Amino acid sequence: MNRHLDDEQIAAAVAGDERSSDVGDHLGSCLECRQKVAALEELIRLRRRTLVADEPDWEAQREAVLGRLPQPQPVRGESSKSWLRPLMAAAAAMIVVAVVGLMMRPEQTEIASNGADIAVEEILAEVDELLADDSIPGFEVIDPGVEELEGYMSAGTS
Amino acid sequence: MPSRDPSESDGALVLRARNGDREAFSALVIRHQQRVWRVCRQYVGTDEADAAAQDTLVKAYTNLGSFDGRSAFTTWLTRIAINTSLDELRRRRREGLRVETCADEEEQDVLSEVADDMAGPLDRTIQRQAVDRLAVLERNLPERQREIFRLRFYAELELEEIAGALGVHVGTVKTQLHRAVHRLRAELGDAR
Repeated sequence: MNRHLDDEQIAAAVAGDERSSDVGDHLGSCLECRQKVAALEELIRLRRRTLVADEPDWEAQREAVLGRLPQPQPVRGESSKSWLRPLMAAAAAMIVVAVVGLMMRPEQTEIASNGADIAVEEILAEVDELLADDSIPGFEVIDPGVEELEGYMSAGTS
Repeated sequence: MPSRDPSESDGALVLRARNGDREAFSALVIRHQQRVWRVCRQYVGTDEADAAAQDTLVKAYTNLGSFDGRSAFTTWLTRIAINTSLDELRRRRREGLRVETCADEEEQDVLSEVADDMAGPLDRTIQRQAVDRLAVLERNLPERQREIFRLRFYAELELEEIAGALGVHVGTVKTQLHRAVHRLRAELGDAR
């Protein structure tokens, strides 16, 4: 490539777009085109330097950011439920196993059953005795009889 | 002290930070805060850039769980910086506040503060005029061209990073950047 680069090629070179090998070779050998590229690159670099002059104190900025970060929150809500769920399930399973285990022990069940039978019979016998004893207040025969009810009704209508 | 192991990847630091390791996040801040600030500055200007950058980094921390690693961490972070800056601009417009962008600040003689021992007084005057001229012309670029030009040359993002952050194809970035440079160079005229 003997002729100079056109404006499009100069702009592409400044923009950092891929340069063809021809353009690269030309820039390597042509001072005039190289100066055109370098002039705009230098201008942009100077402008960037003016912007850099305004940069803040990076350490202070970092401290400010770290100071604004949210503190770690104690576990609560849904996450705590999910944490407790397996423990509660394990506890429930242990209770079921214990109850089933007690129910499946035949000797103790029989003893308990016999004991319960004896107790019920004794209680029923005592109740029968109490019911049979009219002298005890609260166990009187309270059926007033049909005649007495009819008396109440006629007195209400008179 | 934060972890300063330069060999530790962003991904490894993100994993640690997700588990509440603040030192790991501090290391990420050290690694990326300048870039975040420069991106924010292109949108909200110098005065608000620090606040926008801090908001960006705090948002990044609180949303680390949503970083899926499909893009680079820098791209993800840059996208947050851009969105945070645009949100800030929208808020200021909504509240009727003046929106001062990077280009609005060029009235001040910032170049005089730049040390350049190689340039004589005349050269420096010419440089200053050229840089001021660039700033004015840059302001007049179409919005997308201006955005990409600044992200490339002032925030110093790679073309692929810009494409990822803006959600466009890298070819679009190249085209817009090429047009911006071509237009600026044509309008700079004698300044080049």
